[in-house]
Amino acid sequence: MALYADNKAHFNLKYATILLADSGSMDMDIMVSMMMGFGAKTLHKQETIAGAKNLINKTILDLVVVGATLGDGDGCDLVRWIRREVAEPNRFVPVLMIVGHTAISRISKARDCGASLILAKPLTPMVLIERIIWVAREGRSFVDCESYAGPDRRFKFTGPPQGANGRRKDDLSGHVSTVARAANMSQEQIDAMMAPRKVSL
Amino acid sequence: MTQFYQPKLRLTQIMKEPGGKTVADAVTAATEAVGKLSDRAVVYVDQTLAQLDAAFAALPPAFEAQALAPIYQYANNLIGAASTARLVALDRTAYDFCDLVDRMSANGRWDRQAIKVYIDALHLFRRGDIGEAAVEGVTAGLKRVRQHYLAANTPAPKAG
Repeated sequence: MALYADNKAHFNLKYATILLADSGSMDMDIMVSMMMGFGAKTLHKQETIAGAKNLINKTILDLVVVGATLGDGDGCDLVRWIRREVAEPNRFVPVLMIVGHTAISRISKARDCGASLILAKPLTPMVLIERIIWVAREGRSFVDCESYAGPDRRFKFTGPPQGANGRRKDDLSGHVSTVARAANMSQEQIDAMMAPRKVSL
Repeated sequence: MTQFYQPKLRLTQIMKEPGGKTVADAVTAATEAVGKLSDRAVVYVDQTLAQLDAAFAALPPAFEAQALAPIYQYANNLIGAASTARLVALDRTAYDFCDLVDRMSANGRWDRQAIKVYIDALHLFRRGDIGEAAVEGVTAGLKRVRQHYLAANTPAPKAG
């Protein structure tokens, strides 16, 4: 069966084990409602990094949805720990990070901690299910190096990051131009940085 | 040394299992479920606005980035929750307010009057009985407040 995000396509989340990590009770309730609407049955809720770590060490997860802020720290710290410290298969688990204010510095931080995708609030069911299907079907490589561990951040073949020397055989020079201070990012801009929108398998 | 892996995700296989839902049915069910949170979201918005008021009242006379942090956090908490409470104008204003407070933190200077204007606007939009034209008028005024702060406090880019 193929996974698509068009209206008539089928998907099944009934057997998925999902961790929802967020300090905000309202955000948590919204995520739970959406996931249950999607048919998910096994939802683990955690409000702190410590609680989430404890669960991750004991449970094989299929999807993690994490807010930008948890009770005892930054959601990025949890994602970085998953990518660096956790054993397989949880180390590779798809992680969706939910953010409110989308200053480019915060989006870059979320991307660089190893999140698979970043979603801006207010979250809609359509956007969430599209992204879940996308992370389930995509074949992104997992990169592990000194400065980063997580899904390959390159979605476009535009060479290495600005000012950096490429690590791959086919990388050209990274210097293009200087980027001025940028405004906040829309979901479309985040998607353009993180992922293409159309999904099919 | 950089290593590349091609992990096989359990989620891919699980989502292909027989049964499940169509995307359309799943979105409808999720939208209905979130709709049921509306009243709770209104209560949450009210609680968060009260926290915002308290954080503003507690601001010290001189700039302190740490004092701005809770204001940013409470405004950030409103994003999403306000939409669930069907207070869309409040949601957008909370986002713009985050942007302004973020700039104040980065600049190391605040404008208390601008913060107060935004908090007042959030309370106004909480009423939910404001007409579209009035919302647009207030939003345009808030934009001018933000631009005024940025014009007065953003350092000019270095030449070259």
